[in-house]
Formats: sequence, C-alpha cells, structure tokens
Amino acid sequence: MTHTVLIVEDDAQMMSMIAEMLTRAGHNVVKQPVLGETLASVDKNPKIDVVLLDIWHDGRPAFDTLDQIKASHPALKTLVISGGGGYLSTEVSIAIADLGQADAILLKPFTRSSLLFQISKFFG
Amino acid sequence: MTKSHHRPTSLISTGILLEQIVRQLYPERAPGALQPLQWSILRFVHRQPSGDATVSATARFIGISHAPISRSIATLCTKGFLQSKENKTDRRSAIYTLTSQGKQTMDADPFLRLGPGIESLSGHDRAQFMRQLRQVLIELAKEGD
Repeated sequence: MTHTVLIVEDDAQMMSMIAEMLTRAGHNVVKQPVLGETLASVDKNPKIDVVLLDIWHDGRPAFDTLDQIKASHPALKTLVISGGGGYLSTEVSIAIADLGQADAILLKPFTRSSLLFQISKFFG
Repeated sequence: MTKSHHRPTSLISTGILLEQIVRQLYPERAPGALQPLQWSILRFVHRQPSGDATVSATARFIGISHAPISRSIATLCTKGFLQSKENKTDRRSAIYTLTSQGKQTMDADPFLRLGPGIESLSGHDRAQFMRQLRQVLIELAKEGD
C-alpha cells in the first residue's frame, strides 16, 4: 500500500538516500530540510500520513517539533531517526523521543528493509 | 517574604532528590553487581533488531569512548551476560549478543523500579514530569557542551 512520507532531514545525502528507498518501494515523498518548516509542510500536505523526523538538525534537537506534531496531528505516524550529532548521546536522545511518544525509532545506519518494514508496520 | 526559586539551598535539595532516585534504582553497589554502564550496554544489545552489536556501535550509542565500553563488554562476557560471535561483515570486530542469562536479566532492569512511582502520577502530571526532566537535562547538557 502506498503512503506519503514527509522526510524532515537536514543532511542532503541522507535525505536523498531515504527518499530513494521510499520512492523505489512505491511511496510518495515530501522533502523538508528545514526543521522549523515541518508543521507548515504537514499543514500544506493533507496526504502526508507519516513524518520521518531526524531528531538532530544542525546541533538542535527536534523534540519540540515532535511534541507539536503529536499535539496538532495525532493521527500522523511519527518515525524518529537518530544517529547522534547533538549535545545529548543517542541513548538519551531516543529515550526523549520515546517519552515524546514517537511511534517508532530507527537508529542510523538503517537498512532499506528495516525502514520499509517500519512503515508497513504502522498500517497493519 | 517570598522565597527565591533560585536559592542555592533549593537547588541542592533538588539535586539531592534526583541523586536519591538514582541511588534507589541502583541499590546494589557490591563489586559483583551490574554497574550502570553495564546496564546501558545490555539495554542497547537488547534493543537491536538483529539482537547483536559491536563495540563501536555501542560506544556511539552511549556516547563514550571505545575503551570503557570494550572493558565493560569483556566483563559482561566473563559474567555470562553476553557472548561474542563472528562478524561476517567485518572480521576485525566481534559481534556481541545476549546469552539466555542476559535476556533473563533484562526482566530485572533496575529502571523498572520506577514503575510504581511513575504510575502514581496522573496522566497529565506524568507528561509534565517527563517534559520537565527533559528540559532540565537539555539545559545541563547545553551548559556542558
């Protein structure tokens, strides 16, 4: 089944790689490299049903963005990805994302199959 | 007279409470008991979809250097919680998995002791508590960065 995934990722190479993984599997992709524009992207694209959110953007955490998505669009699935890159360890970052009720968390580097498996798991 | 919320004594008292929570979670400080870093390592291996991890991946995840991770993993292997197996993708580094003893040990994770205390909070208070803990931690981490 096809889904529309908003990718919120500031690393251009990672963005490109994730987008390719998803489009090759038949999903639609919306790219958002700017963390602060995440909610605007969600509001402009009602077809988005998954937000794939990198938890660190240029050294800034995306925890508040995750809170805002959960509060304003509770039906959206949130998939947090993390590989470090901030002033908190990955262990702590994903604990915070988990408490922020991220629907799933994937650690970088992740495989195409684990990403696609997680997307499909969201929708039964 | 209004009390300042930033008086050193109230900060000390807050620190004492936070420290006490950690001490209550890890009451067994005997030489043979698992130490906090060892628990972090076991939790990381346990959460891996493949069920295994390398020293490098573990060190990156926990955010400390290889040497203490390597030593702790060696200790966990000696104690029977982890076992090593061949890494077919990189023969220079071993992969570690939980033994059956290690898997059983996860049921005794000291953090599970938080259950009754956390569950005593209302849903709203619980969410607020998590958010406030996060805020304090972020401010501390930013200062130390």
